[in-house]
Amino acid sequence: MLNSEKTILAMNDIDDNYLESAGEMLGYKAEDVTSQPNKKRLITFALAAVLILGLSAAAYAIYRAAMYMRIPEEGTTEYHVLYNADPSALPEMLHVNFDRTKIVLRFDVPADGYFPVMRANDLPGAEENWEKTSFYSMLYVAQRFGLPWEMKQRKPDEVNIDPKQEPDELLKEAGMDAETADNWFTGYEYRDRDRDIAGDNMDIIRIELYGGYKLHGQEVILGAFSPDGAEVKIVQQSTLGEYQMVEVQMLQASGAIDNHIFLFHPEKYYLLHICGNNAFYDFSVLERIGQNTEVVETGLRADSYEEKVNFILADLAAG
Amino acid sequence: MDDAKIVELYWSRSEQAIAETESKYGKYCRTISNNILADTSDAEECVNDTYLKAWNSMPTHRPSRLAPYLGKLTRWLSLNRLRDNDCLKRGNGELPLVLDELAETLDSGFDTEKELEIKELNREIRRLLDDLKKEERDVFLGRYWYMASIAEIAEKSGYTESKVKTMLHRTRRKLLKQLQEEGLC
Repeated sequence: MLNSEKTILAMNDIDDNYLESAGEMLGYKAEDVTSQPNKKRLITFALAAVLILGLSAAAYAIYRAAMYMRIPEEGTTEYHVLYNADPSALPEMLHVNFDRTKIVLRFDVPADGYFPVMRANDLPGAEENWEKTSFYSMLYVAQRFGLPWEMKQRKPDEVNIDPKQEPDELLKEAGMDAETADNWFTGYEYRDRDRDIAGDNMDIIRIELYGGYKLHGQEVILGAFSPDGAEVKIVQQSTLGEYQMVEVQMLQASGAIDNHIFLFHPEKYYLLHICGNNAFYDFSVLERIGQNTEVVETGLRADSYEEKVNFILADLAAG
Repeated sequence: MDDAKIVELYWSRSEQAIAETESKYGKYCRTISNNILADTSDAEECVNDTYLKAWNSMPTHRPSRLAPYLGKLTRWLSLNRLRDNDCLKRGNGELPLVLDELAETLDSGFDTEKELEIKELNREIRRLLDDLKKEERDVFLGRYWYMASIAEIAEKSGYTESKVKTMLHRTRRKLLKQLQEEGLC
């Protein structure tokens, strides 16, 4: 790459004050909007979000949902959180050719479940350039993000989670201290410092852990919410150690390729989803991470409950 | 709505966050993207991607000012879109012209043995910007960060186009000299 091209890229991460000053000179600034816009706009995008739907347990980055937002003329905003059991309904709302991108992965899991947590012991360059953004233990995650956390106490010796508890108390009740919890997560997001400098301060490697109860009765639907569509294909189904492995490749409309692996433990009933987020990684790298990710049970049992979310969308892309 | 409140909406996972972002920064982000891509529908997609990235990043990020935060995301996504299609030097926007200007200074006698790391470049650019006068810095960033045209920069700054070009040329030379002094070029 020529120096001129690198300069353009290297310039992305500069002092905010300087950026604002130059923007002000050009007249590029925030809109002084005191009310909702009164023009009808269709804004289609896909979000990764926690669905707070009265679930008995929730953890950040466990669920993903696609949202369709429209700002109608009257200035109110409607949001539709999609949790239909029938994914074929989605194209009407999202204007994407979902049929073309849908692949459904099914895993047989029992109704009862538990909370597993994980520790990824082998991430590329983790000890040097990576900054970790992670969420340890569902208990602290729930507390930290103020999620409605309800867990019915079925037996006297079972843990009763009060969302008003302090994180340390929650951890203690789960038999985990803060230092230990720091090593155990329900999801990882890693950023590459070089990419931070280049302005792409987003996670590069994403690892998510779905406890068995989260999978019961649900399907993992792979979709790329690109208006131009995207191709999704299963590249390989095999085993990796104790796991059943599915490797999936998504070819976005832009030509970018996303590789995903799904590692399902057939006896412990949990699912690991590992991918590069807006970054391309070979399957071999993703497999290595999966092999070196340790998953354990926290000892907390989950109620079997009727999910309002009927599927897990494993990938989203808005363009 | 002020930025702190919008950020709080993201942190509380409120769907209103995106609506407020669009209201306040949609035009700003589209301008940045369109300057690079010169295609309104591509720019629209990049802005949508920006919202997605913003949603994914907050939490854990808590930017104090959303304009530069979102602007950087949009710029990066727009450049990436061209990079993915190997179109960095092609296209209809200002980018090919911008690259030609930079190439004239930085790529002549390009030495493949001394490959600059983007991280090193970033460090030197930051240093350069710290040493520039405000006017010089605004013009430099207006051109090479915001990818505004020379005409637009001249109009908005009050300088003539000739003066803008001269300022840019001098700043590029300063950057080259700095890189050479550091043994990076």
